[in-house]
Amino acid sequence: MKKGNSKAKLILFFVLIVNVALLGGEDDLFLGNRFYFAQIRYAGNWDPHPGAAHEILHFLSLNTSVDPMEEKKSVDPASDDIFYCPFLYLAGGGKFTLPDAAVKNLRRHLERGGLLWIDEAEDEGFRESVQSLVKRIFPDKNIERIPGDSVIFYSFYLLPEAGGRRRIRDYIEGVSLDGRWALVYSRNDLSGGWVRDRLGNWQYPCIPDGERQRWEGIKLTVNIIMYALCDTYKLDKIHREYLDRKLE
Amino acid sequence: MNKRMLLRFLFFGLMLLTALSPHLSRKKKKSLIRRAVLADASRSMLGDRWARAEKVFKQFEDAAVDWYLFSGELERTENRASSAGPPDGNLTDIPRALGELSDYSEVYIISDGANNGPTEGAGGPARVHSIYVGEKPSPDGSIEEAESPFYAFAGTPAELKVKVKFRNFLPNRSRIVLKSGGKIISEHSFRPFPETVQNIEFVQEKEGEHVYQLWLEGEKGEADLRNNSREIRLEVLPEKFRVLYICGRPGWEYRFLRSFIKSNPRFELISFIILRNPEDVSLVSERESALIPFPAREIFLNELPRYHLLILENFDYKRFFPAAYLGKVSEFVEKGGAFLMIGGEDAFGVNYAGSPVEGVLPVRIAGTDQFQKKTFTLRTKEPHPVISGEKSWNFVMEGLNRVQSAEGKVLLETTEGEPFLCVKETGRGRTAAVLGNTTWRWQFLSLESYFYWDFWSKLVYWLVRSPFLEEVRIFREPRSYKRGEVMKWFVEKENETAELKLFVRTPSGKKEERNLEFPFSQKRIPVSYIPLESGPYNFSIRGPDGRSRKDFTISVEEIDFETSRSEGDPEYLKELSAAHGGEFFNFDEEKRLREFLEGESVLERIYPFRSAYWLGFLFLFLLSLWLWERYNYGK
Repeated sequence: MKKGNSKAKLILFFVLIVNVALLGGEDDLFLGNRFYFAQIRYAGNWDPHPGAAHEILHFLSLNTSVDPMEEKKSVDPASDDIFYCPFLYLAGGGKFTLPDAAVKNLRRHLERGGLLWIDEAEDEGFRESVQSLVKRIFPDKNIERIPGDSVIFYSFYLLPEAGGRRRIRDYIEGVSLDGRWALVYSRNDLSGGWVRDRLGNWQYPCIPDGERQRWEGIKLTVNIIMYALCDTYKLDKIHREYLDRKLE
Repeated sequence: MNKRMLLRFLFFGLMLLTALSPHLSRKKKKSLIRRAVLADASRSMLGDRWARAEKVFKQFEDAAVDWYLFSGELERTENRASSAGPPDGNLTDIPRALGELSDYSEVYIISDGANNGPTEGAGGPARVHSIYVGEKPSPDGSIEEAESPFYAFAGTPAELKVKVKFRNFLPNRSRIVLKSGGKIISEHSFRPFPETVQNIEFVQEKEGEHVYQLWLEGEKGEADLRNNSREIRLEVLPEKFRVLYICGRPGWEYRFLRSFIKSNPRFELISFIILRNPEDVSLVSERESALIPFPAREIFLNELPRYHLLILENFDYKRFFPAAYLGKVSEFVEKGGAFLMIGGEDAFGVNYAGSPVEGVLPVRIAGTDQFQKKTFTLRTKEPHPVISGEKSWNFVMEGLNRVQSAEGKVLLETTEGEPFLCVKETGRGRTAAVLGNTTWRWQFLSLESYFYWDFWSKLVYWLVRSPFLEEVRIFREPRSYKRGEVMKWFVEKENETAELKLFVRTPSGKKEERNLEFPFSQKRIPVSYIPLESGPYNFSIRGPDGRSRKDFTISVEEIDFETSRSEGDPEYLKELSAAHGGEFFNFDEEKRLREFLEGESVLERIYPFRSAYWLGFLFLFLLSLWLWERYNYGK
């Protein structure tokens, strides 16, 4: 029995070594200037699609020059950890509430140039909670529709509309701060469109427009992340002129 | 009417006359008082002026006056001034001479008014009369001062303040013309006053240092046309500093630095960020992509000279253009462009080793890629305007580009002694290397986001040679001065609350210092200084901490004041006499002067009905009247 135990420990040790090597080891601990998918943790259904972030990060790595951390990190919004990543992701379905310390931290984060992407997997009181959270963060601001000509719709892909797993809205919403969208709120369960099963197939169908809608959702996700990383870069004259010619 | 009534009426008439007390006026010669005659014995008085002065001296022959001669010093003479011989003084310091004669009630100064002494506004006797013995004054218009800004922006109006003086004439209209390279930039017509300040607005389209000529329209018969023009120099800055920012991949350093540069209205930013590398997969058609091809050829072969600053962040050129293009970067710097390389895993890589870019960078690049995924903190190494201010650099940074060695100045280094921020001046340009790309945390993680803004604004301003970085700015004419000539320049400070001091070291080694007083909320003041020695004067304007410091040297030449500024100045004498309650005479007003000296009188008023004799007479008259009535009418 003893012998068997030590053998098992040895195997476990080797598995760990291999895992660390596969995950990148030192690489995975290094934040530096890299894109870091920080998902807000709270009491409630905070992670409705646990596999979505991995898919998103993998896609970014293959299709763009972004150098992302390989796995998402869950962060407590009340801690200073959120200030290591200017991009924050909050998902859920159903009611939730955040403590005052988290609200204060989020305000500081967004005012300093951070971006919070809120993705609604199911409603069931989620929208009401988001509205209440926005009022607590910025008492004098409202959630408003992000117009279709906003830079978010051409920060990487040219998007005609907002896709996702379910089409509740054909647009996205947000909160504007100093001329930029500091908070982006999608109601179409964008992350739900990313999830795959163990065999690599899409886990959820996209309703009502199927795969075309999923692809629009995937592209919108990439655009939101690119917007967080590049801000209004695509509004610079040289890019704008090129895109205008292309859209003609 | 009986006799009694007549006498009573007479008495009341006399009483009324006494009450009204009418007066008589008459001129009365003033008694002689203590007086001095002060004769100008400087060399400018030689020739006709001295001959005229001798004629004036004769008018004082019978007067009880003390005689003095003056030039730089005051000298008492026993007899008339002419007995001392021809004038040979090297200076005319009228205020100083008057200051030494304050015991006298009246002083008569005989001079050509060509005062050139360093003394200003001294005291003196109660009354000063002056007799001008110079030539009849001719008309003269002059530009006395021209105050220009420290710098101007191309395409933006700039303003010059020009002080103009008209002596002995006043035209109906006058005109100031501003020229540059023989071409008229601005014309300004105005209604003149004897002394006036005119604002000249102009727009310069080209950046760089420009020399301008100001010219005041002359009049026929003007005494001196040399003082109608003045030369000024002005640095014209670009309307906006153009920045080209190329970043190898999306990241937070780019995100925050781009926002910072974009938010500054003095910068025009064009940025390119590589959103997809050639090796990345593209799942969409060109129609669905918002990406534009990176115009490397256009940028490096044609467009680069249009910019003031090139930033390469975490960028490995090998994927996008041939190494030959890097020669254009070094050429850009040699010709005055600014270049900044910011770290990251693709920056300062082996591909840059030995390239023309390495030649202009302030670091030598290692032979292998040396990006270290480590955490570290910083400390200052060499003082520099870029890192000035009270700051703690104790932030945790991540990711360091290790280089072989530093070539320029190392301003910041890790606590282990590895360079982090290096700067260098090369050719006509400036370069900097920031060997990491997590400075964005200074804004995002730190409680003091000002720290981030302060650092980057100072670094960028230093790179493009912007005067905004200067804490103290001085505007002065680039010229030498003559001994005794008033130097005037303007000092401007960036920080309203900073206290500045002026330190002077004279050619003989004498040290002087004085506080520069800035009126409340004023950032710019004029400062003047009168050099009394010839040779190089060293000036230094410093803040209390010694950081904000501006040093400059002005050479002062020896001068023969009496020949260089010998023109007679009756206006000076007129103003002097008016200020001391005295009279001004021209040398040919002999009669008026004689009468003034001999017959100077005062108006005297006599009140006969207030005298004791009159009052005594009235008393006796009243007494007689009373006795007479008692005798004749009894009881």
